[in-house]
Amino acid sequence: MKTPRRYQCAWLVLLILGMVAAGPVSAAGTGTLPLDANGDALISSDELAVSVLDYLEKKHTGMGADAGQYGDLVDGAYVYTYWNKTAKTVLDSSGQAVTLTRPIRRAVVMNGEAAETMRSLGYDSTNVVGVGKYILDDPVFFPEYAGMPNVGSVWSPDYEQIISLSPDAVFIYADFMDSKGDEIQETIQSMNPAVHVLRYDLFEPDTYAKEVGLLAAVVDREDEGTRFAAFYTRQMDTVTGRVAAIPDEERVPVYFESSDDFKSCAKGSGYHDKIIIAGGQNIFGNATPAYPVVNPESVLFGNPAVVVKLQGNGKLDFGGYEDDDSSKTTELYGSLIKRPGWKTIQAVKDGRVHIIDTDVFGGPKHFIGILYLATWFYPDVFADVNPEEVHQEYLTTYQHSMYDVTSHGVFVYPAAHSLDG
Amino acid sequence: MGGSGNTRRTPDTGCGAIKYFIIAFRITMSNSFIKQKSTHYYYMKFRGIISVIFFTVLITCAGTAAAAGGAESGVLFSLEPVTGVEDEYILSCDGADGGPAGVFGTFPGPVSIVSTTLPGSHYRLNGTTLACALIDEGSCSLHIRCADLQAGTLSLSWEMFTDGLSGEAGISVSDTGVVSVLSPGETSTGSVGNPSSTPVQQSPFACTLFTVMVSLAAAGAYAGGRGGDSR
Repeated sequence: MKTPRRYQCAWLVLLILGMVAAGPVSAAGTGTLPLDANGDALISSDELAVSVLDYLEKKHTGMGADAGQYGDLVDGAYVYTYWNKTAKTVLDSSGQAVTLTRPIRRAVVMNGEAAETMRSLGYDSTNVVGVGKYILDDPVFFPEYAGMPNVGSVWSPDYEQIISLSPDAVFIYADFMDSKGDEIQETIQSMNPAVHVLRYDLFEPDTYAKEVGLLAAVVDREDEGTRFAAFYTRQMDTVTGRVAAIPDEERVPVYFESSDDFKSCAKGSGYHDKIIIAGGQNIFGNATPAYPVVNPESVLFGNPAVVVKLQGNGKLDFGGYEDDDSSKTTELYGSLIKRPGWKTIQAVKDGRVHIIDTDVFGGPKHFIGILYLATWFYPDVFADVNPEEVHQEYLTTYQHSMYDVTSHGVFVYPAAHSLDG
Repeated sequence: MGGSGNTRRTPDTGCGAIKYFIIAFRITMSNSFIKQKSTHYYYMKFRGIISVIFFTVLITCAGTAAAAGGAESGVLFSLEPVTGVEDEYILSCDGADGGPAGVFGTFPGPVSIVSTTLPGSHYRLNGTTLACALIDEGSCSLHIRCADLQAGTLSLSWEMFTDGLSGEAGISVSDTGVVSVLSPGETSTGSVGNPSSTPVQQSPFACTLFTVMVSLAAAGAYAGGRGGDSR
């Protein structure tokens, strides 16, 4: 039997808890650990029990538990169960160490790379309360976000909209936007200091696997992060492992062209890095700037063994997931090989001119593009590699999508099976 | 595989599964009883029937097991009168393994705690109500005293705070002391000293019997669909 003194203590604790609960409680982290009545940065079993009992009594005696109290209880139970009773410190790609006192239940995601990678991690999309313009512009790949509040573009966020959504965290780029990212973070946190601004790029081959691990920790999907990173790393290792055995002098000379005619890539660009990873020798690798517009004659002079043309953005905004009609890609291909003087280029002579869509060359799916490049550069070395199958596995297993790449979309041209023929 | 090519199948006129079992039994017992040509055919048909039954039972049992597993998630309750002591009961809660959980009970009259496995700060009595917090334990036991429980009903609700699961149950004690565990839409009677838990589970035997009957019907349909005999 309990003594009356113990009840007095319990009511005292309840009183203290009530005073804490009376403070500002919002979905956004306030920086204090929920239910931590004594402020020791730990949620004790007794602190959680008091909260449970108080909630039950209010609920069942007609007083009704308020949303703030219930939110604290649920978050406190989560922290107690999954975070070893205390706050969790996570890292982002900009080097910030962020201490989370609650799980992220309301996220604003500005960039598609983060949204896509969160999906690979199995993060519950219903926790996302607002997304960037470019995510909304891609309803085929991001159907779950159709109709969701638009928080503007990564370059021009709608700050008022972001704050009105009371997010726990806003996800933006890390280094991609240089100082613009800092400006966005400062603006958001000046409007509400409790909002965490977490920054990840999630498109660079050198850092993607590591960033997956960091993001997985933030959204509490570490096991899924490990599995997905292993899948990603396995694909990349397939390429890098085999390419490492190819001597430099035997590397295939490659001409890469973006969606703008004769706009190529050089050191310092992501496109160049992907060519190098796939074992190619970029004929304009030493040019400046990182995206040089080259002289058409210099392409003839470079005599590339393989030509890779990018579609899916700029003037060539077709193909990819949203497009089942390959006629424009076919037309593009025809115009390429008919360019003045190009019949003398080795790549054209050998039928090694390829078009690749930005949907599988940029962002988190860059590994699929790299697999395509490797199979084009060294068909014998990568004879057993089928990028289309890997692409489908990625969509089915990690993106949880029903999209069938064998019957939808235009990702590369000529298609692999037409080359086989 | 399948039927031998030299047997011509004609439409059956409503042969049931039992008939095929009898035939198959005869085949098994004595091959000489039926001509060799028919024996092979019946043997293959018997295999087909057995396959249908086997897989039907297998799939149904798997589904039943999965459903039972799902039904058993959550907190289950039992109430057992304390032998030889009037108005005292052992109330047990089990299954709160999904994380911190709360249990709230409303008794038909004043209730007191004689003893419990819960820490003192993890439950709270208030006249006819009892609130419990299961924090690090998936189960608990409370030795309670409630004079009005006999011929009354104890209403229980539970809630888990990490996955949002919740549920309700009721336990009634008749004026003769028989404990019945109730759940919304379901009723199950137990007996004193042999408490049951909610949700109520269907008898495995009844389920299996039902499944076998369905399988027999399926086998009959299969046999009918495959055509008649080789007479």
